[in-house]
Amino acid sequence: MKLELVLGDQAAQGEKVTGRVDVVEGGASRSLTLTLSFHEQTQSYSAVRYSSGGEIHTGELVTGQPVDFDFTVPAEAPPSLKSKHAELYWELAITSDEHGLDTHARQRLEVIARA
Amino acid sequence: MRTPLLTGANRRSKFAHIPPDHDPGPQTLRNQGGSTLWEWFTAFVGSGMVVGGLFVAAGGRGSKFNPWEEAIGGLVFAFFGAVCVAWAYSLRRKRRPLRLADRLPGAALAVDRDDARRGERLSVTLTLASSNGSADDESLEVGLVCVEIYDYQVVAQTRAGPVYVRQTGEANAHEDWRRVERTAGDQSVEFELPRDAPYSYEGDCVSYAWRVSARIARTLRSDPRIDHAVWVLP
Repeated sequence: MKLELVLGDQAAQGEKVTGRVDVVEGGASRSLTLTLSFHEQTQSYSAVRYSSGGEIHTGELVTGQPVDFDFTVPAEAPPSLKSKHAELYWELAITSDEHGLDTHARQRLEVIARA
Repeated sequence: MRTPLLTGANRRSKFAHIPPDHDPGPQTLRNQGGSTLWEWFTAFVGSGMVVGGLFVAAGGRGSKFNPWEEAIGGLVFAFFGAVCVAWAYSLRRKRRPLRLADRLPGAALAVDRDDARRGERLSVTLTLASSNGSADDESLEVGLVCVEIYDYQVVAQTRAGPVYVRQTGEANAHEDWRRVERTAGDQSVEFELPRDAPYSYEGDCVSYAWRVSARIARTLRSDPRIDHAVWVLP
């Protein structure tokens, strides 16, 4: 199984975001789950401070099949931020629940402050 | 929350880097108290080493030991003890800086609001009760500072194997200092919160804290200062 996330790089607080999962190599999957999470990262430590998501597809995935999804960035989402010693970032993860090892696809999403 | 004038002297918050209306994050809560214990422990051990070292150097262990060896060994031991005491003092001064009011009685710092967004302006007023002359190299400054508070891992090698210790470091992510006169009365300074700077954040392994400060900038010594925490919104 091989999945590819197609998503814009940037979204504002409270904005509705649409995206697509391209199934590059299909296979038996029980479900496809989308998770949006907010991470803190320093050189030595990391923490997930927010995580939310749900199922966007159930059943087998066929090669070439697109799976569309949409979600809303929380209105109070802390914007992405990078400083000398740390980073705050948002990440979108797709997980295919399979027999054996699951397949994952991840992409960072830069969240910007609402204008 | 917007209030017309909040003076640093009148505000009370358990955590000096957070305005009173905001909650501390896991990192702040985890670190509360721990540094105080560490300071006292280091100071206690260091003081013991100084006293013990000087006692030995003075020949306190009796004439059966070589006086030169006792003097050299004792002084070296006392020196490292003094380093521990100095380290403990610097930790304390980092956590609790010298108060500006001790150097400039009646000094007060006021900010027009506690919460502001990036890109907005903050109006700061420094009030001095009297004109205070001092050494030319000690300038009085008002500044806007953002401190990045981040956790990092230190590995200590022991006979039982490596020990991993979680430490918290601080670095200025933004600072803008303006020199002001040491004259009695009010002096106002305006700062713009940079749009690309961090916003206030209380996290698990990283936090960003903003403050407005007035300080006497001194060379090779800690700066007496007065702080006023502000909360910067994204």
